[in-house]
Amino acid sequence: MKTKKLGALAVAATLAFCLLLTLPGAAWAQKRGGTLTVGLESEPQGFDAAVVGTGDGSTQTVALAIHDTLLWRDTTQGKLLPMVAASHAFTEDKKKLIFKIREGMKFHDGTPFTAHALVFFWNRILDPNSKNTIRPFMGPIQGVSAPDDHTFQFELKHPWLALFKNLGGANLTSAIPSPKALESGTQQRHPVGAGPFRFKSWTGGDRIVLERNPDYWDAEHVYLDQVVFRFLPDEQARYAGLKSGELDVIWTDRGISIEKAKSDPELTVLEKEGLGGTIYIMNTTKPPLDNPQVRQALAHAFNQEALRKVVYRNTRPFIRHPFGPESTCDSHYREHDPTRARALLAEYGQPVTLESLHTNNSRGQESAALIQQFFGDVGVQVKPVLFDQTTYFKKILTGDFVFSGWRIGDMAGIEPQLSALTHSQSSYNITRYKSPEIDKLLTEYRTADTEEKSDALGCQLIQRVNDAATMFFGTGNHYYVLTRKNVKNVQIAISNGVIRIAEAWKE
Amino acid sequence: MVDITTEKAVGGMALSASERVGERHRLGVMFWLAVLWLVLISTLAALAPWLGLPDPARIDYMTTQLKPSAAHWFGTDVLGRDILSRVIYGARVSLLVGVLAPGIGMSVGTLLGLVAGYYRGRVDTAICTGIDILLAVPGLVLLLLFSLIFGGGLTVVSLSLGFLFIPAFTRVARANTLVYTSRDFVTATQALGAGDLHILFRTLLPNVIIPVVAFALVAVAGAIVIEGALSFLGLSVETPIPTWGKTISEGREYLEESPHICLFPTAVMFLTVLSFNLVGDTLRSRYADVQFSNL
Amino acid sequence: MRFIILRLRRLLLVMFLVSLLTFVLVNWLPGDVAYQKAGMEASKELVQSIRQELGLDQPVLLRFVKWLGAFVTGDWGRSFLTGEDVREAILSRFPVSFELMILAQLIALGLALPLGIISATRAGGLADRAIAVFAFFSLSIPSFMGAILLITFFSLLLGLLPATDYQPLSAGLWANLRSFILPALSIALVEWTVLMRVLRAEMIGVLQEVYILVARAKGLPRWRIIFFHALRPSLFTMITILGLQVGGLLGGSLIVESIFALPGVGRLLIQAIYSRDFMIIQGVVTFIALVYVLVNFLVDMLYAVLDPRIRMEADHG
Repeated sequence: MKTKKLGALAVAATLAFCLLLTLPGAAWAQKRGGTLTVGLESEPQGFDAAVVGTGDGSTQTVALAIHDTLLWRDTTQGKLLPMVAASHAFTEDKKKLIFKIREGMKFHDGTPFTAHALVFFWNRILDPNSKNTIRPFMGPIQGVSAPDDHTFQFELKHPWLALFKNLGGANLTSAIPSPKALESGTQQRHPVGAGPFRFKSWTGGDRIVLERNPDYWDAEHVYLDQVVFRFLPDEQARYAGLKSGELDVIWTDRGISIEKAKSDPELTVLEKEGLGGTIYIMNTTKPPLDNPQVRQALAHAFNQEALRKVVYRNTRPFIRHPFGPESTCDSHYREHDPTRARALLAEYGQPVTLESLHTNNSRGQESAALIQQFFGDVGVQVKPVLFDQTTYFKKILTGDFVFSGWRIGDMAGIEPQLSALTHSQSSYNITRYKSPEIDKLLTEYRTADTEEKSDALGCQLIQRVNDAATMFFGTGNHYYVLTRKNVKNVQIAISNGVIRIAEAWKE
Repeated sequence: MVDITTEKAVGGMALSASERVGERHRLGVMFWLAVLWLVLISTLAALAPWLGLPDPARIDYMTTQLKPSAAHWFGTDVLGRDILSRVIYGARVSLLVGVLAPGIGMSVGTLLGLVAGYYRGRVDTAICTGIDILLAVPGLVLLLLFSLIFGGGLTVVSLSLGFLFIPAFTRVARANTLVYTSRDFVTATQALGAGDLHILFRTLLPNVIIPVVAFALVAVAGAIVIEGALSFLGLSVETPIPTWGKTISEGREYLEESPHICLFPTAVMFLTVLSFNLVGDTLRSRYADVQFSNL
Repeated sequence: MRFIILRLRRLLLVMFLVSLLTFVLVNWLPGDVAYQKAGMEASKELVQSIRQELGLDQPVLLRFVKWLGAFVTGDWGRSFLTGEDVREAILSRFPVSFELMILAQLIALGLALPLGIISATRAGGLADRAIAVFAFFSLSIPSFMGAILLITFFSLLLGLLPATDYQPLSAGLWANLRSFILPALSIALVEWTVLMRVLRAEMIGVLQEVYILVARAKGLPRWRIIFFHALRPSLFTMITILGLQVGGLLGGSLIVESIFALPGVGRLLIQAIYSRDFMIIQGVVTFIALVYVLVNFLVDMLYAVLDPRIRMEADHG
């Protein structure tokens, strides 16, 4: 009797359980609620693109949670997803890029989200009187307009693929703020967007708190109640916080943390390789680096493998070009070859000494020491000089250096950066190498209207750069995001290691 | 400002003879151990280039983060550099700064303190106000600013740090000058018609200098610590010259996997600072008439 | 009265000179915030116009006067880089630094009191010697070193205390206090030795006073004598120094705040120095100096109130 009853009970329980599972929001599907705590490596610079520029990784991550973007390039599925823009299209000549805006969206302050908000935002950036840092890169944009409330378009002077590529990313030009916040000047410290989370508070030096936006157009896929971003520049502190459970998500670039996390059952490791990377630049107007043989010798003396191993513990990729892991470009990269370096220097005939400029943090010191070693091994005397970030910046931009390290930022549309770096008329051409051939190539590269053409031309550009040895590549960009095992669906953006937490949840 | 009041409060408490004796015996063994350590570290530092040590800046990416062994007594750091060598060469910088900076502070400070304590009045007020101004800005901040403005480098660091020590030494010298000026033998000298300079340098200085020197030894410990803090923050002397603070800071990132990188320089720095403190303090309690509390 | 006026005048003079000194020094810093703002596309014209906007092209003294005028009326300027209001930035972070300082002093006191009393009452004995040695060891550990060792031991090895989990009071009192234990301890490990030595010296002196002898003769128990008769007068100088240390600690907490990621004034300053955020540096240093000078002033006043001799000397000296 008892057994029968128990059996019936068991069957009933199982049935009920199965029923429960079919309900939406069941036990192991996305769990609603909770607070996600993210450990950022720096405090965001602010949320007004006209003040900050495109923003660094931390800024972009927080901005992405508060604001919405036109499109989103989902890296896990490799698809371009519509966000604010329900659809998009190019005109035949590729000179117009048109977006159809979703209806019924609102900013967090109640302002309706229409194409006019986009026009306002972009005109502010493109305004010739504005001193923002993005405008110089937006030369090819003729203007923006909104033929009706829900259509927004870019008018370009010529086909410009880079714009489209970057709009799918997470920089501050993609994150669209409320025109009211922009006008009142509060956007910088009190951002108002139309994104999955609303801005709640910003305690200087400590944290930013966001809360869920129930009016978001895709609110059913937003599961968290609250997100807290804490600013923790010290990597060990971040890692310790993650281990102890104080933090749910962190970035790291420290080899030992990554290694440990990979074998830690409590943690998940997300990673992505990006475009761009660190480069070493030579001021071609300063002797002896005005001599191509000397430059080529230095390129061959440099040992990227050793740098990767020692400074980054192999957590960053070896690169021969800045186009990322999917590119098949043969860039004429000058391999590590001390013999050839010495031969070139012997041809040059005179002793070579130079100063190498670095930043005064541990990475900078390590690279400085290694560069000294690499070049010393082929007979070049190097004197490292280290400065703090702002002095270093200034010296590079004013040409007050001979040899230094720099970087090509990670952006899907990398052409604008490369053009700025290599065009003879560009004030950002920090190697100061002028070549009409390169200029001609750049014009074609910039106006290429298909991906294949663009890739091919970009590759040619880097070939020229490696041939002339005006710079060489240090290491690539590779991002590591560590999360606790119970944190799900954190997505890494296409560039800069930015993470999208809009659809994340905690079990 | 408050130094007068504090001095009076503590200076008024003369130590009993039995207390003094207790102190003398109390630090006996420790005192000599400290002296021994200081002699050892100074000798090693001075003789560093002739000790057959590997180049402290020599990077060898084949031998990174080795544990201590026969080949490398203290192991190697993240760039493959020998840590024992870095510690000994680092001692050169730390000791040099540690001696130069208080040296500068002592010379200028004693002079200022003598003058302020002897002449009193406007001169005294001016000097004391100057001291207050210097003390109101946090020392580390001033140092940061100085080394950013004038660049890093041994000279700049020593001079800046020396500059920052001047107030402390001025106070010590001044406090002691005040005490001695009121003593009979000085009044007598004045009555005999001796000139100011004579009194300052022949009568007061020899008496004031003893507690000042005793304080200086403790200041050396402080200078080493501050230089350590400075290079920990990434300033101070440039690469490739190693300093204790720098090696500690470099090793901090690898504390979990290779603690020896950080801990050996930490231990050496700790022992040196400890020794200077011990020696300085023992001498202070033996010879100082005015018990000057550690401000 | 004259005493107070004199001191007040001195205070104002020092404050003025400190802010002037800082202004000039910060102005000399190489590196240009304009380049930072201009970013990658820093053309000469852009940098120049940014400098103009920020008022950096005017002569130093003129800018100082303008700044001072604004400062005194409560307008401390805005950060060049982020636009944050300087006064707000400082005042919102001050409570954190203040809490750190107070807790550090409490811990220091907690160590200095008992150890000082033991040392004084057993002067010359084994306990006294042991405590002195311990004090020297403690004193010789610089705060940054202490911080690292404490983190290694308590956070990494034992996992008992958080390394950098600063929690504001709104998260709960214990959570908040917990995040301060290690940082306060790093600082206290040096501070307590000074306090203990002063207490010890004074208490030894007091214990030799006649009235203590009388109390002993009366047969009062030892602990009563120590706590009810000897301790209070001995605390005088120690408390003075405690007060002074608080004033000075604000600047001394820089490194500890950085290592433990506490959002205090010290950390703000370090970041501002590295990014050449002029207005913030100026505001913070002046603020720190103000606090230090004010605390000194208050302690001075307190002392004068309690010890009439000082007042007399100032009036006649």
